[in-house]
Amino acid sequence: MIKVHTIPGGIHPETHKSMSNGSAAERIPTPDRLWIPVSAGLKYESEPIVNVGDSVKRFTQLTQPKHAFAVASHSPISGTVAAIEMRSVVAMPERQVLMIAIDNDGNNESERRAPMALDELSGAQILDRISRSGIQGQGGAGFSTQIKIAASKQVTHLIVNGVECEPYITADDRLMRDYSDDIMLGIQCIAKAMQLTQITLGTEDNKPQAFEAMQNAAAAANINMQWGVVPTKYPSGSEKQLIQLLTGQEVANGKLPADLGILMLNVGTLAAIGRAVVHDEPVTERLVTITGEACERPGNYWVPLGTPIDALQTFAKDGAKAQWIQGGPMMGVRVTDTTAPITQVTNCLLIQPAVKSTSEMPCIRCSACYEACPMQLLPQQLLWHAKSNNEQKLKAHNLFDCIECGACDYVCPSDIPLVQYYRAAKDELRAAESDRVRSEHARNRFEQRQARLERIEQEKIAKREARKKAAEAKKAAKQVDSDTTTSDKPKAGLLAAAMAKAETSKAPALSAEKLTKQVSNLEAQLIHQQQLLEEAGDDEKRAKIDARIKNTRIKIDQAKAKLASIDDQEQPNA
Amino acid sequence: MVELLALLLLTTIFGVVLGYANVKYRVEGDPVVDQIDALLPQTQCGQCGHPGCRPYAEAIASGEAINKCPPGGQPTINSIADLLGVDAPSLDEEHGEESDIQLVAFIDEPNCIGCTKCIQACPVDAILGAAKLMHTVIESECTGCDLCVDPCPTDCIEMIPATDGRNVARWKQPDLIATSERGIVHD
Amino acid sequence: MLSSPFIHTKRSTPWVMQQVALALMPAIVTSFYFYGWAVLSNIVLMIIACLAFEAFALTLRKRSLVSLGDWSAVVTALLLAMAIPPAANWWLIVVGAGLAMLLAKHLYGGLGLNPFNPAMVAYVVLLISYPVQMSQWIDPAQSALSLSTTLDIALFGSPIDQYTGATALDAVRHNAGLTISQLAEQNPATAWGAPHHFVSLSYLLGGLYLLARRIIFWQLPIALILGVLVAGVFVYDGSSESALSPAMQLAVGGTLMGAFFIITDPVSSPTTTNGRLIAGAFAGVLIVVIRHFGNYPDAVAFAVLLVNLCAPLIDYFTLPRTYGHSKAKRATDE
Repeated sequence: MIKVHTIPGGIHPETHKSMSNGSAAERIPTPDRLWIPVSAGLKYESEPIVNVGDSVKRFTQLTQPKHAFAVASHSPISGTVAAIEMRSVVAMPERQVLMIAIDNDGNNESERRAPMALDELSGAQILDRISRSGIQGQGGAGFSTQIKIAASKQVTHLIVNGVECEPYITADDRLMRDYSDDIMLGIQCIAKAMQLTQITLGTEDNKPQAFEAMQNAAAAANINMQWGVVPTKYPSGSEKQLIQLLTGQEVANGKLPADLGILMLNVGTLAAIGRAVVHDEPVTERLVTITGEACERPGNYWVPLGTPIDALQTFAKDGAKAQWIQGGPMMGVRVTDTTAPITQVTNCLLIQPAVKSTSEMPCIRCSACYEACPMQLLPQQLLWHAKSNNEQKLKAHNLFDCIECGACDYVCPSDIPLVQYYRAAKDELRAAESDRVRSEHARNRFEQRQARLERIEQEKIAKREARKKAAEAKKAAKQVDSDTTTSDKPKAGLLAAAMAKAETSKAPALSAEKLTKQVSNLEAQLIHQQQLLEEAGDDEKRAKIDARIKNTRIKIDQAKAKLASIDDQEQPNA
Repeated sequence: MVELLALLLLTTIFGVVLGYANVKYRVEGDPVVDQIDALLPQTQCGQCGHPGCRPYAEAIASGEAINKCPPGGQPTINSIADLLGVDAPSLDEEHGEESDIQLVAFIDEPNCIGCTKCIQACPVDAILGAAKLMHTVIESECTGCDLCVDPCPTDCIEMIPATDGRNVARWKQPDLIATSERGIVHD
Repeated sequence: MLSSPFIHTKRSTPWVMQQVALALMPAIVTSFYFYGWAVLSNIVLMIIACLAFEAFALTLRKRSLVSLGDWSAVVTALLLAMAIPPAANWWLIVVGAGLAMLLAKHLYGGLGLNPFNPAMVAYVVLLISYPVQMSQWIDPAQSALSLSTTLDIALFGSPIDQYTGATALDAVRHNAGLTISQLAEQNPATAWGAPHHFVSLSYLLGGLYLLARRIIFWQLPIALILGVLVAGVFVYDGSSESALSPAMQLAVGGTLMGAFFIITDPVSSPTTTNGRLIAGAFAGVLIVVIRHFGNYPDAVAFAVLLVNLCAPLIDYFTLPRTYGHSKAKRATDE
């Protein structure tokens, strides 16, 4: 047991965890059709590598990442690719994404895997297996685990996040109790691949069974771990807050936990890593807590990724009236389209009865939000400035440090949707910033274009002037020729001729040296072409080559002529 | 007499100080024009009746109405009003309507005859192509100014919503006071 | 698109206001015991007047009358009713309610936007405008007022002089030359155990309830009490020309009411932890300074208003350090 530090703020909502953590995880019957989003990490693109009509097995790779932060997805079942089309996802209700439909053939065939004992795998092999298994953070944010690990080169300390501080959710609790071996495998993989010296489990004091199971599993696997039990308080499971609780350190503004030598992974992610590395099984299902006040059989269920929420409607007590939330009640997303599929970030489906709406009352500056904020922001000041869209003040009050945990919103006696205000303000500022960058860019391009047009115009004028002068010089020279005896201004005529000559001699930029080189190149080409002519079979080809040879000869003649004229000019000087 | 001298002395001193400051702290160019120009969206669309954003910024600095920029819309009007310390008028619809969606030009390539007229019209060199060769719009460079649409002899350019992240859905502020329906469970 | 979170504390703004009203009950009961119906007439008339003005203001501003149910007007009414002398004339109450609701609250945009505590603004304006009526405190040494006498005075303007006596703070101010202990013999209001001390104790009781329910934060009242005690030591030398003893400073003239119910008004006080400590201590010192050097008998209202005035400044200089930042940013424009 290590000494646990304290964090400011936080709240103590009813946890409602006993509703769903009473029994071990079950499996739901596999639905007939799964919908797999092509870009599993929705923000970053991948592309499908299967076509409609292809038959796939379990673990067949379906998509290939295009962006470095994207992850691959694999088929959770055997069957046929039935469709590839745009559909809704929960995480981005306002936008449709490309999805692959897999029709279940019921054969449950798997692709052959290559399981290997951990001892036989090198660090590089471990990382390779992680990177091709399409693992995302299972805690809810869904960031690519491979990238998180890749960005943690200097890490010595692994913190295993088993806090699960959101009310209602018990997936990690159940995972630690029933699948602690998988988690230990994952810990061993990471420890080996990254040569870690310190491993700490962080969990809340409301999960004693899970804690005990983890301790037993660690002893069995002979892993030397530190144990941190934090008091039950939301949001202790947030990365920054858990680091503060377990180490007393803060992740500096703009830095990553890796800068403190820390890598934090969720227990679910570690279990997925364990399975991916040792059993060579990519992520195709996850443990989902299905619970809520309007839930028929609350509990934890293994759900294949891509299962449409519609397929889980039997869990709702009064189907149509219930409202579904993906994730916990504090940071989850309202499900507006129940055709949307389960993804790796779906740690919970919360089914709540429809409740009557509340309305926002004026802020009475009671400071409950300030007392609740784990980041020590001033939520009511942020609200004030968000409403007036005061960019400078919002930045000065560190709006972008807000982790959107919702603690301020939860305690607000005036029911002000604070988090929504902050999200809107953040989006507004981000959009303003990108608009600024874009308009600066457009300005530069406009100005450069103007400058270029100006330059071309100037060049045109200069050329015209030069031509004019040359013509004048010729005229003058003729005049000099025609009346040599009576010329009044022979000097002026000579001057003009000299200037015209200087202008024209500038024009052929090619030096004698270059021209000589060109001639020798062309001659080499000529020889080559003549060889080709001899080798060529049919007449058509010969005719073509003949034409080319003629061309080359003309070029050579031209170049030689130029060379001669330059020699003429240079001789007097020489 | 003393008063007169004192006054003379003071005027001399302050005159020198002012003259010095004039030389020392001279500002080149017109900073107000720069500041206004920085707030304009730089689409260079000419909807305001000026050939580009900077000329309009100069016109504003010399007293022209600030509500003639449809691409910037109300936010731009508000920030210019803020800068100049005047009331923000609403957009003058005569010059065009404000659009929620940012558009970019799109060339229907099979119909393009390679006349380069759109290339000459584009103020930010966002169209790629050469004479007798097909043209295409570089989306990330297009400001959506619309200027290439009219010159096209085959009408193959249309304005479509940008797909490069300019139009991603954003969180909206809840309606102010007493109208937000959130469906919250009180525990 | 609606944002998380989807659960919420049961606490609501009306609930908070109700709790404050509830916490005032001990003081109301104790006052009723000593002053009789005079206290209740104040409260009933004031609540009616305040709600009427609030409704009027909301109608003028075209706002929903639903906010009448937020209890904020009732709390203001209770505080103002308890602050002015019992059995106050109906017109005094109406003027006070109008000042509190219109001048101090809705003129600034209603609940949550008023920079000053509405009850204290009304109290101060009344005190300056009607000094005579505002100093006619019933002498609790005589028996409590009956309902009919109260109604006679409050509604029909019967003279109240025969029932009034000097308050402790008046006694100190107007009896130069005596020591405090001599003064205590002459005027029981300045001796320990006077009725208003029990009223003060009741405020303390209500305040402790609010602290226990975590409706108010401890920094403001504790800092205010410490401020009064510390400043009290400096001005006390035992003669009635100086001031009451530091302990007595706490027990008279609504100091404890100010500490637990007035300065803790969240709308007009600083919001940061350190800011609350500074504001409380500042108010405490100001109370003693104004009592000792000022022209008005009581100082709580003035002290609170002055601190309200400084609240934005105090907040500005006590910004907390955000997680991961090396030091607190000043929210300056530059």
